[in-house]
Order: sequence, then structure tokens, then C-alpha cells
Amino acid sequence: MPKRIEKLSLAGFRGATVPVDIPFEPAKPITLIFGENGSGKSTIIDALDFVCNKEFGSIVEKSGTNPKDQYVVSLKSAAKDLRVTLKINGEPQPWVATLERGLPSVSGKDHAPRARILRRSQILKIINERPADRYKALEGFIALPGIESSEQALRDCIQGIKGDFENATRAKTQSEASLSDSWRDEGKPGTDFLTWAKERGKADASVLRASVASLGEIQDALATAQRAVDSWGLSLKDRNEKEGRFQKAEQAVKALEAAAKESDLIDLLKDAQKYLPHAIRPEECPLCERPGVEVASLLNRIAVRLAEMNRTALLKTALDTSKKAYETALTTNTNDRATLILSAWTLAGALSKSSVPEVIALHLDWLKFPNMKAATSPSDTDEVFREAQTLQISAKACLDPLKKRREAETRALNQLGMIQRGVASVQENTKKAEDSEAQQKRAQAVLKVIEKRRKDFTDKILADISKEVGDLCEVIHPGEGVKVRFFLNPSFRNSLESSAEFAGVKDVPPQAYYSESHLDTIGVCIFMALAKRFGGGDEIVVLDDVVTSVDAPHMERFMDLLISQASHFGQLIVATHYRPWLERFRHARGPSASVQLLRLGPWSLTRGIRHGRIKVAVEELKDAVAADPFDRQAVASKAGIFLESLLDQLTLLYKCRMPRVPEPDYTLGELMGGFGKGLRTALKSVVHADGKPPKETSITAMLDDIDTFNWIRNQVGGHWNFKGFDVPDADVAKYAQRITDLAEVLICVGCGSLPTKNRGESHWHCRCGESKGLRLFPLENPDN
Amino acid sequence: MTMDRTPDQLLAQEIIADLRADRLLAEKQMAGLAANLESGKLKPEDWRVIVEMAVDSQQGGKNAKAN
Repeated sequence: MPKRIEKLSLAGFRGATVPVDIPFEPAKPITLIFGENGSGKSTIIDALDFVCNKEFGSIVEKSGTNPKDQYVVSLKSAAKDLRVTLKINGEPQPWVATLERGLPSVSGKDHAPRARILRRSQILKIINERPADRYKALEGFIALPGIESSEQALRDCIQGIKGDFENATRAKTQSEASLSDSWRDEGKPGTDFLTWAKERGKADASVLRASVASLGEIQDALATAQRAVDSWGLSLKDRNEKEGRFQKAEQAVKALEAAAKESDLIDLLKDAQKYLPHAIRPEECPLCERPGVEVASLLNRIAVRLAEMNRTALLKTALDTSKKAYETALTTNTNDRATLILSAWTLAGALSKSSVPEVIALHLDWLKFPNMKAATSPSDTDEVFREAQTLQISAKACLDPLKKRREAETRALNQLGMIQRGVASVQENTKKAEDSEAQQKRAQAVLKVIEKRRKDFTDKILADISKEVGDLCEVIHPGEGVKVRFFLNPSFRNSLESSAEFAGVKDVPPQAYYSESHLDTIGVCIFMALAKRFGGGDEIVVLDDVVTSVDAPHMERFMDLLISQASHFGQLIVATHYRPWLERFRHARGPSASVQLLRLGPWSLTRGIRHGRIKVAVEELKDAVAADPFDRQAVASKAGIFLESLLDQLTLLYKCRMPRVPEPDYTLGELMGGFGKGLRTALKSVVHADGKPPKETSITAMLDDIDTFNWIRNQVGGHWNFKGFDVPDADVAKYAQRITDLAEVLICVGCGSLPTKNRGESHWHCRCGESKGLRLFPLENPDN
Repeated sequence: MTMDRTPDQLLAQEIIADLRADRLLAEKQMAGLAANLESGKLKPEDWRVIVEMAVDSQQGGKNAKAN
């Protein structure tokens, strides 16, 4: 058995205010959910959308229902209690959908099966809306967001490669220009600049680099030696000056050495200076006691003498200072002298190993500089010092020539580096440009494949869909030539145009010429054509109240279409509030054997969604006959209505002669009277079952028999009537029994429908295959 | 019931078949390319690597088609 829905359970979801299990019959490919408005059809369809597609369903398109997660929860229920459970036959685990952070979340193995849901609002969009909105309504089938995104990324990639190619070409051109300039500066030797540059670039830069380094070493040694000489000269001058100052200070101190002898006297004078102002007899000498001392005068003289003696002390201090300065200058000069010797020794080392012409040209006689050629830096002696000074002076002559040579070699080194880098750049960028060019060509070839495939893919889909829609429409509107074509407008992104052919005029907008019922059925046909193409044969396809405006013949053909197309889908679910649709199935005008009929009762807040199985008319009549207590009125009424339905179909099929009335509301008597003698005699059914001989049943006697009981329908089932009260229950039951017998002869057990298919033979076929099912003879009414 | 294939998935398979037939990309790139192609996860830098490998590969290089 194909995998189909076994049960859909709703708790706290929209109209399911009370938890409800909706049973499905997996053996039947079609489920017809009938319910009047407000019975919960949309809740069930939205629940399928929720668990299969993680969508909020029909409330998405309704204004004032944001946030969606709030309104998808049943009244007086909490989001945490919302649960939609989908059980598929043959699958061990169901899929369970809940609300997580305001979004649908589905647990279960793999993905839930996909449900394609068509609502009436979408039909309007498919047909009537602007091309962009039409595209949006169908984008689930034709949109290629992933491929288009990847395609755009490839275009961006190609732009990047182009950029790289241009950069490489530009860098190559610049390098070539630079090399060409150098080549021109060199006088254009050889055949061309690049050959020249490659040849020049082969030179070993390390030799030149070592020479420049060696020249730099000599230059540095010369400069260091020169600085040492200069420094030594300055420190020598300083030393001599300091020495002179020291000697002068020394002489000045020696000159005052005599005064140094009076140092005891200074102490005595200082004592006297302290004593005299406080002497008891100041006019008397404290040593010889002679009178006549003038104290004031004496104190003045003492002060003068003490001042002179202080100057001697200052000179001594100055002597110490100049001595220290001299000693420092002497040390500095000694150190400078040592530095001079060291720098000359270093210079000798650099010069002695150099083969540079400018050094050779000095003709240094190293025999004259034995100490400078020593392995280690020589000690400071006057001989060594003189050698050092001589060497420095001798070598000084090569300083400027060396500098010029070094600058020339540095320029040559730089030019070699530039040439080598230029050649490398030309080679590298040539390769980069070649690589980029190859990549660009390859990427463009890939892009061309993707672009072409995408365009072909979309065009083919739309062409196929257009043809399929035409084929499907032909079933519903045979001979009317309904042709609708879809195409993407190349001038606009995501714009799906449509055009139609009407009365032989091509390329007219379908909404301008077709009737509302045509547009409705065209919309459904478009949807089914797309679902057929992309469904993979196992999708759940749902039509939610999509057709309301078609007349009876079109409705019948629409039913035929759904039934014939159901095999292309995993399961077809049709929700409708259109009762004639239901009644046609119930009265064998459609193959009820392959259609599950599900009825929804009135919805209420306290009871939620109510549902029940719908019985076909013959089953309902049999159950009514078998019911205890026996409801004679109901049985008679149901039997009469069912008989009317059968006779109505037969009289239509055989184009029976009926009274002409404004509305075809024929009575039972009129319908029975429609069967002329010829038809009544010829009418028979033949059942073909696998492996069994055909079973033929004449209907003539059955109709004659029923004819004698038909008054029961009115008198028992339809009116308050004393004559009817006399009819025994057994006769009412017999009447019903005869009608169920007739129904069982006329209705195929296999498909559950009356034979109404003309396959160009001598009889009518039911909806079963060629070799089995029920056949009704004759094909034509012999009375006509 | 199984999941159906999206238009992106269907087209990705067709594109891969064409690329393989034209030998425009390196065979080792083909395995994961369909999934990335259909999901739109390919970035310009990803394409760059794919194209570089295709050009570098002996097989792809010999059969490159210029526009």
C-alpha cells in the first residue's frame, strides 16, 4: 500500500480547541473533506502546512494576524501545548510539530513529507495578479534561488579573474617599460630590451655586493681613523691648555708658600680679633703689658692682614681644580691616542687585504708599518703612534676615489637588482596573465553552461506546464480550446507573464476573456501541472476550497480530472464546502471506492472540530433498513431519493424523453416514465471480474418491480397520509431492498461509480480498467 | 513518502551532467559541487578554486572550451 496519511492529530492548533484525531484511509488516494463554512477545514489544511512545510498556513495572508505564532494557537490554549502529529502508514514514528521560539519545529526521522497546498487566494494570484505576484505564487515550483546565487557568485568570480588579469598585464607593462628605459640608457645593445635584460640579469649580484661591502669597510675604517686623529688632536690641545693653567696655578701657590709660613700668625690674629673687643685693659698690650695700644686702629690692621691671608687659600683651591682638569685632559688624550692607534691598525687590516685599484695606487710599503700589520692591536708607544699617524696620513688620499668607486658600484648593483626584478616581474606577470586568461575562459564556459541550462530549464518547465495545463483544461472544458501560455519576461526579474488563446485569437490576457469558472479551473490546472512535474509522485497535494463557481457538467468533469490525476501524487486531499460535490460521490457519480469521504460537523469552542465518516447512499440505505428501531419514514425517503439519483443519471445517459420543464426537477414518476419499452427491455449490466466469467443481469424486471412500489416513497416517506400508515414495515423494507439491489447491479463494486464512460463500444464503462468492472448495455437508447 | 526534489536540485543535476560531459571541471570537484550549486552556498572565491583546479588538471586543461 502506498505511504499515505494514516492520522493527523491536532492539539491547541487554531480551531482544535479540543484535541482531535483526524483519521485517513491510506488505501484511498483521494480524501474529500466536506464541511460547511466555519467547520474547521482550514484548520486541518493549515495543520498539514505546519507539520509538513513548517508554515503557518492560511493566516500568513490574513492581515492583523501578527505575530503568526500567537494566532496559530487555539483560543484559551498555550503555545507550549500546541502539537500537530502526522502519522504515515508504514512509518514507525510520527512527525510532531510544535512551536519553538515562535516558529514551527518538527521532530521525527528525516523530513516530514512535503505538502503542496493550493488555496483559493493563490488561484486569484496565479490568474489575476501582476506578473511579479504570479511569479511569487508559483515560485516554489519555478524559482531557482540557489542556482541563481551560485551563478552570480561565478560572475563575481569572473570579474575578480578579469581584475587579476588586468593587474598582471599592467604590472608586466610597467616592468617592461622600466627595462626598456634602462636598455635605452645603455644604448640599446643587442636585439631587444628583454633579451638584453635577461642577459644582464644573469650577472651574479653577490660579487658586486661583496665589493661594495668591502669598499664600505675601507671607507668606514678611513673615516674612523680620521675621526680618531681629529679627536686626538683636539684632546691634545685641550691637554696642553689644561697643563698650562695647572703650571700657572702651581707657580702662584709656590709664590705664596712664604705666606703659608705665617699660618700660625693668622691664628694669632684671629684670636686677637676675638680678644680685643672684650679686653679688661684694652690700652695695654696683653703680651708685654706696655700701655698705649690703640684698640680700634689695631683691629683694623688685623682685619686687613687676615684678608690678604685668605687669598692664599683661594689660590690653593684653584690649584687643586686645575690639577684635576689637567689630569682628566691627560687621560682623555692618552685614550684618544690609543684609539688612533687602534683605528689605524684596523685601517691597515682593511687596506692590506684590498685589491681595489685606488688602494693599490697608494703604494703602501708595509715594511714601514710593522706594528700596524701585527696580528693584534699594538701597545701604545711613540713608535707605534708615529706609525699609526703616518699610515692614516698615507691612506687618506684614497678616500675620495674610493667613495666614487663605491657609489658607482652601488648604482650598478641597484641597476642589476632592478633588471633582475624587472625580468622576474615580466616573467611572473606573463604567467599570471596567461593563467588568468585560461581561468577566465574556463569560468566563462562554465557560466555559459549554467546560464543556458537555467534558461532552458525554466523555458521547458513553462512550456511543459503550458501544455499540461492545456491538456488538463481540455478534460474539464472539452472542445473549448482553452490554451494558456506562461513565460518569464526577460526584461524583468521574477516576472511570470501569461497569455491565452480565445476564440482563435492568440496572446490575449486570460483574465480578460475567460469566465470566472474557467479561471478557477485554469488556476487549479496550473497548480496540478506544477505539482505533477515537481512532486516526484509522492507529495501530498491539497486543494483547499478552490472551486465554487463551476456548473454541474464542469464539476463532474473536474471530479473526473482529479480522479484521473490522483495517481500522479502520493495523496490528494480536497477540502470543500460545496455539498453537490459530496453528494455526487455519495450517489455513485464518482468513483467513491477510491475516495475517502470525511465530514466536519459544526465547530464550537467547547467541542472544537468534530468529524465523522460519510457513508455512500447505498450503504446508508442498507444501514437504515437494518437499524433497530426501524425508521420507516427515513427508509422510504432515503430509498426514493437514492432511486431518483440513479434514474436521473440513467435518463441523462440514454437521453430519455422527458416532459419539458423550466427546471429539471423531475418526479420519481416522470423519471420512471422516461424509460421507454425498448430501453427498459434492453437494459442490462455485465460484471467482469478477474478470473471469473462475466455476470449478466437484466434490469428490466427490476425496474418493473420497483415501479409497483414507488408510491411507498411518497405515502410513507414524504407525506402525512392514512393510506401510508397501512403499509407494513416489511413492504417499506422490501421497497428499499429492491432499490439497493438495483444499485448493486448498476454501481461497480470496484470503483464505486455508475458506468458513464463511452469508449466507442456497444456499452458504457465504469471507471475501472478495460478488462474488468461493470458494463451497462446498450450504449444507445433504442427508443430514440 | 520521500521528499521531492526542488527545482534547484533538479537543475543542479542537469548542470553537473553538462559540465561533466564537456569536461569543463576537474572530476574530483564534481562530487560536492551539486550540493553547493543548488544551495547557493558557492562564493566567488570557491569558484576561483574550482576553476583554478580545472585549469591545472591535465584532464580539464586539455578539453577546455573557449568562448
